[in-house]
Amino acid sequence: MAWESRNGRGRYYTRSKRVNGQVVREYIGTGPRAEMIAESDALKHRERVATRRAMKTAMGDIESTSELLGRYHVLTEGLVRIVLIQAGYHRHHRGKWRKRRGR
Amino acid sequence: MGVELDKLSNLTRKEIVDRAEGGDTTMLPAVREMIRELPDAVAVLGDTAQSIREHLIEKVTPKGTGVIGREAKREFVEEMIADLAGPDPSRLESLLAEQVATCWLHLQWLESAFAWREEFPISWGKYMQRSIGQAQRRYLQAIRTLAQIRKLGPSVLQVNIAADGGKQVNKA
Repeated sequence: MAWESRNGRGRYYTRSKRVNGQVVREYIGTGPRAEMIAESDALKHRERVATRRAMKTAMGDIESTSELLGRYHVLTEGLVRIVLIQAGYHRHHRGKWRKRRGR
Repeated sequence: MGVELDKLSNLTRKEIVDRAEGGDTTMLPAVREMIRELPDAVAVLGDTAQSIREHLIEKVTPKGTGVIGREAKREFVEEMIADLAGPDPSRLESLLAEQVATCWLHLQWLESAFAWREEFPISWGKYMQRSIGQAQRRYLQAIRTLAQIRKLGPSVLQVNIAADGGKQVNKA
């Protein structure tokens, strides 16, 4: 989105959009209508930037919490496995835990 | 595992546990060594779970409800842990009850974050669906593990993982 000047004659508001995957430049022109559209586009742009920023922050938080929780989960499950083995159990290919014979 | 065992084998702890789990009884002495370290591990896991829960309680407490909202949520989670652990729980049952509650809180947070706003980018939706799916799997696995331990009964609950002076789990 930009205001362009052609041969020094006034400013034209233009914006780009995608049509069937191609970037197409749309000429809006000059005057109050162009000013209004430009302001509306700028507002939408600011909203998109703010959304992206908020999303990035939230994803970072989710990622770090999930990673910590994942490590905690794996360690707890590992601890349970050790306890079960110590109690005389075994299992094959993540199947059912069974008591070892002779225990 | 002690230093001597480390010298005897290049196997990692995970490999030792994997083999012992599959029925390799030659790995049992090494597993017994690990049991000695469990009280420390249990204490660390307990602290980790507690700090994760504090972080999540902060996140899921509705904005504007302040300290009261946070305390109410904390109390709710503590009650949930007590209910899951049952009366006179072993240390292992308490640990697993904490795990279920922590995973539940995590899932709550992600589900509320998913509906963050009425309109959101597709990439956010996909990311959140993946994260929620993973959290659901962890939550269900935590419930399954607690149920499994209970089903196997006293022989498992008798394994002492409590720290010195901590709660003993021998119930027989």
